Amino acid sequence: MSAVSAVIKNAATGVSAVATADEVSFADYFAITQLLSRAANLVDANRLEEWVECFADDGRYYILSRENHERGLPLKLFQCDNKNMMHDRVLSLRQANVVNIHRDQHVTGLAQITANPDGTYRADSGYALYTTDQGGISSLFGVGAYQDTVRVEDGLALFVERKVIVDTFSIPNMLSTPI
Amino acid sequence: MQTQTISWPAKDLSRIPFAMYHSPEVYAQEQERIFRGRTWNYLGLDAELPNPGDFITTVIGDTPILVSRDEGGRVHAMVNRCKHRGAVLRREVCGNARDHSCIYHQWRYSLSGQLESVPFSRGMKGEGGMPADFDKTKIHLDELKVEVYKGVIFATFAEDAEPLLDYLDAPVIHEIDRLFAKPIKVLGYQRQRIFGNWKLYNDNVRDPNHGGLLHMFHATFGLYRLSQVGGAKMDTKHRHNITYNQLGTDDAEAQSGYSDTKKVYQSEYQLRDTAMLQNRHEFPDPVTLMIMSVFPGVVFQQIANSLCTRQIRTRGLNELELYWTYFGYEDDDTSMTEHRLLQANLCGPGGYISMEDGEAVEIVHKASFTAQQEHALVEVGGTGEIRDAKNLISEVPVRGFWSYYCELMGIELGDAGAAKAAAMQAPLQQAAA
Repeated sequence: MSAVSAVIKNAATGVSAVATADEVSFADYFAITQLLSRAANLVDANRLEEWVECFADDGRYYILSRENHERGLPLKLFQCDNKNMMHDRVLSLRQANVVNIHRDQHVTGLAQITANPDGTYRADSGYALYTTDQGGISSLFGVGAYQDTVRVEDGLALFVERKVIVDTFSIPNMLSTPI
Repeated sequence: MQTQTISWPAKDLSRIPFAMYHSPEVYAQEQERIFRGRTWNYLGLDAELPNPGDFITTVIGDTPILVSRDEGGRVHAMVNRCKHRGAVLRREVCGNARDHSCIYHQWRYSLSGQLESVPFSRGMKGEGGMPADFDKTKIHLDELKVEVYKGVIFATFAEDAEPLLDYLDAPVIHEIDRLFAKPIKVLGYQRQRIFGNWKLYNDNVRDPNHGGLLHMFHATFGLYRLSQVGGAKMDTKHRHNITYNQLGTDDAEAQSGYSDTKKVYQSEYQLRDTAMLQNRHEFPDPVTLMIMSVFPGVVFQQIANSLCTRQIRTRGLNELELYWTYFGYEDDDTSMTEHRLLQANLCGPGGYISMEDGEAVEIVHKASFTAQQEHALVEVGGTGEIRDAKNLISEVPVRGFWSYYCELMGIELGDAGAAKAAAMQAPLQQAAA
């Protein structure tokens, strides 16, 4: 295969990099996009215990408002510094919290994937998240962007960090399930 | 428009007419008599606009407000509306500026709201412009009376409002002194839109009883249970309320009160990471949870080390926005700041122990719409005299809120009010039959 290279500027970070086919191999690109779609589909299917397994053992998950993000304020909406905290979120949803009865449906955009110097990948993608009530009425829950750090090992991609920047940060009713 | 009659059968406010959450006329009166009346309204924190020229935009009820710090460091609160055509003057959420100019026609106001210039006010070559008697010195943004206490900014539309400290009263002042004993730093904001009437949220925060029944994270994992030491205390007019409790003060016997509920205390469920639940002792008392509601639209919160204000913003009859401002102290070390940020998981729209409030407000709003001649039953903690409680199984402060609300709205309570309402309703019912 001939080396394909192009100067790629990551739209979210503004960082320019020369990406070559070696840096983001098709196999890794494929593994990462599979991870991104699996994560969204698992949340939509309410298979949250499996969603947690989209993360590496040292994985982190954050939801933060665009407002805080752009003002450099550290407060999050969800802050899971480790996988145990993700398990706890799911446990609490299953055993303790009373949620609005709904179903999620993500529509995710194509990801821009670039290589990080440490061997991980950065994936940037957008989402629209619709919520549907028991009467079959859907409404937009929110839009925003994922800023993911992904590690690929033995053909399996896992999140090292998933950061969700919520544009619709005036949250309708409640934020119960992960985005 | 048909004037709606609303009956208040109980003088002790143990019956709240559902129509109060749904009447457009009531809503319009509230904006005038409560938000633009003789109440003190929370606007923000000094720390959000520390420097001259800093400003934030907010609301009191539906009215847009510009909070602006002038060159001398004084905080002004003005209606955020240009005196020319009524346009929103400052569109940004916050910022720093030398003056405030309207984008529409460039009318420029000082940081304290005085009109300073109007472009082409003398026209060109003797033609156009403002009339000769136009006096810009007489034009000032509608200014509110501001008082800042311990870095918390309040304002009122009423020139003759009682002084802020009289309005807050001793119990509230004590809690503000406690929370704002040293300089704070803002950690960030959260917003939550709830599709229900703004008063339903005021009811919610004055009802300690729901804390350990709706928010089952508490009961399941151990932060707040109704069986713990706690209570509710109010100011002399009962318009504000402080709900407080202390961790680890109940035992198995006290917890048996949960045996009638579907979700009993479930000690078999353990969180894998309990860092979030730890309370780092930082106040000179054992209180680990303090939720203070100040009439009409702000809540101050301490949940362990998670500190914030929640401003209740009306968004019409059927919607409110909660605007949460989280803070820590300037002298917090990195570890304490990280702890507060982690504990913010407990609250806000995605909070383990608060996410259900939006749902609770919405389901009351939804179902009570079709019961506007009926009344909510407010008897937990007793009827009759409105008084403090030394336990959490009480919703008496809800009656406190409504007693001051009715005073401001000029609502007549009890038999006289009920009889008047019944007399006015009778012809309507006959007409309907």
